[in-house]
Amino acid sequence: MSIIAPTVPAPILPRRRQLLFGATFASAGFGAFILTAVGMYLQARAPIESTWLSEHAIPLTQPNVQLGTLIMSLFTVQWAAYSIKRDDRGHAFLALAITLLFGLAFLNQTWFLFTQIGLPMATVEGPLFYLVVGGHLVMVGVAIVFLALMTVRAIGGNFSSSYPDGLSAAALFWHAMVAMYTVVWLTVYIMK
Amino acid sequence: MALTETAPPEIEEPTTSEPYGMVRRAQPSGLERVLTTADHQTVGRLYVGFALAFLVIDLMVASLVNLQIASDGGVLDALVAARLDMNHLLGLALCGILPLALGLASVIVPKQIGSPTLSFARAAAWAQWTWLLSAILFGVAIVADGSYGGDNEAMARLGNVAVGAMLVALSVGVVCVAVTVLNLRPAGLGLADVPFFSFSMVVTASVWIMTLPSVLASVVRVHIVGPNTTDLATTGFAGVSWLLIQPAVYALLLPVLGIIIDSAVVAAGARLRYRGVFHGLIGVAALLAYGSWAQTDVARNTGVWVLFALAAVLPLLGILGGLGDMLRQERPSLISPLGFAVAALLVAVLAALTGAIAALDTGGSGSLVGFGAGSMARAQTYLVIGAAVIGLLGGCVLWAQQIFGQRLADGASKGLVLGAASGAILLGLPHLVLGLVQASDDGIDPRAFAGISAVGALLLALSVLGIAAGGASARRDAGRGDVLVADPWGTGTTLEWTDAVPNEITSPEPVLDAREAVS
Repeated sequence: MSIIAPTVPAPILPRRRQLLFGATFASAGFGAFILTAVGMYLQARAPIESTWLSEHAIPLTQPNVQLGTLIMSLFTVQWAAYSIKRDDRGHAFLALAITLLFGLAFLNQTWFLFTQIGLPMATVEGPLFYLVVGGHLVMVGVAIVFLALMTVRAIGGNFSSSYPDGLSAAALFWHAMVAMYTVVWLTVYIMK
Repeated sequence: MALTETAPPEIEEPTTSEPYGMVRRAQPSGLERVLTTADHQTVGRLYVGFALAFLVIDLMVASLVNLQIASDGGVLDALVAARLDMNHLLGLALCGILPLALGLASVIVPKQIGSPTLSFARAAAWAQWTWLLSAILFGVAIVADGSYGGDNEAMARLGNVAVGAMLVALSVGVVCVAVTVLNLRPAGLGLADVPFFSFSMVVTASVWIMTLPSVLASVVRVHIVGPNTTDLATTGFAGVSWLLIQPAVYALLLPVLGIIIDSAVVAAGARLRYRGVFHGLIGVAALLAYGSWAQTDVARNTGVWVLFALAAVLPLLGILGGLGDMLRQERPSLISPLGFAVAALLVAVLAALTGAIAALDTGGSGSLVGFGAGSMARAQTYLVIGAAVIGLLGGCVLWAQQIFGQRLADGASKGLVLGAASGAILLGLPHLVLGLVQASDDGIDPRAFAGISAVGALLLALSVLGIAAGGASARRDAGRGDVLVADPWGTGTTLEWTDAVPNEITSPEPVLDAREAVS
């Protein structure tokens, strides 16, 4: 039996899709930044391809593990969005926690990669490498903060099957971030 | 509770105005309200006010730069002149035109779609203050011998960082406006039914959000190496200056297309036929204004680039023809916003034709005809800037009541149409003629051409100053509390011309529907 009288009007929910549109534009903006940076990287590398990064080899293990981490996070972040749309809050929180853990692990792996490469800024490759990888790292940071904020709001009861937008928007931005990493992975780490 | 229990002692009502020791917060002062508000009208007015001020300053600088050439270097120190020459176009775009468009949109777009607020209102306010602070820092850096072309290394870096911050702020601001249009429309008002300025802002946001972060990448690339002044004057400037070369320069015009069409609709007071065609033309113009792929000379001077440059004329001609047809049939009121709209569109067409001629010359590795490439590029940039300024001034006049609180005097505004139009043409046309003449005489003296251009910049600056002064006066008078009609033109058709959003919206012109229902 409901304890709410039937005459009480339903609460006014925030407008749907606002965060989704915002996340779409933000993804496009970050995408434009990273793709431009990748373009600069490839343009600078083309004339000196044979000597590019010859003194600072990039090991392939870390980037591959990073890609694997992010691919797994794709499933978990979508799991969170799926669960909240079905009011399965337990699964949603579990998926969010795992996704955030993957994100933090990615940051840790990137930091480790930087120390392994030891590429100084005062080289031809340095500024461009850090522009591309650093630009993506900022996107990862924003994605983690965005998802963490939405997690806190979800814990506070903000999202449900009738208003899942916050988590859907965070998931959308997360997917865009992973898509950008595949570009970085291919152009910087694989096509060396 | 048993009835035999002693009644609890009554709690005394607090008698002071500050109960239970709480300190009542004083009402925020006017300054506090301005600094902390997320109200879209306040945010938009701040954009408009400061952008008009920066436009006046930057146009005066443009006049000085041309005067320097006209006087054979007799006005300014050569290094100062070179620094101002490099930075004044960036200033016109990032401190004047883009924020003025954003300011107009912040005030008008929510009204056009019947929304009480912008989406992400606090982000919009943050973007406005970040832009303002960055624009001031950019100016300080230039004055203190910095920014691109400056000799003071710290100030040169400051100018670069300020440009980056402006790019971030403008990107955030335009996203807030676009999401408002996409998401806060009332029931019955589809995306294809929103007024053209609102529609053009969605399109504008799509182009700006793909363009401005690309420029930001160049800014960051230069900054992270700890650049010296030479790096900033060469690599740094090349990384941002493509924003002012076709096709990217047309992104400045996109919001103006919406203002032009809305001005014509108000002048005609009628329904616009073939709305879809106009939407398509704005969309095509946006597609052709996307220029992140053409940042370097290698990417420009290609067949694709030439095609983009030639095609850019078509949507402008389409809008010109469509509006001409409507105005021919509807016998419009000859109000000043219509004058601004027609002038802006004609100058924009001239700019696009200039770009097309310059692009054709790239055949034969730039020697097909042998026009002066630098003069042609400068002419096109000045003409685009001129068209954008005229169009945005037209927007300020059209929606003066919503922006400044009162309508501007139409007679004076018509005078400003003449001033702005002649200023824009005098600013750009001499460089176009110079570029064309250089095909036959490479050593022609540019001084007379630059002198005329200086006069054009001055005229345009005075026109902007006229609108700014009129707006400030209207804002002051608006405080008297006069009762205003919602539609001072009497022919508005869309929601910004009414105080109350109708319960049921069944067409793109709900105000015209209501007017027709009454009559």
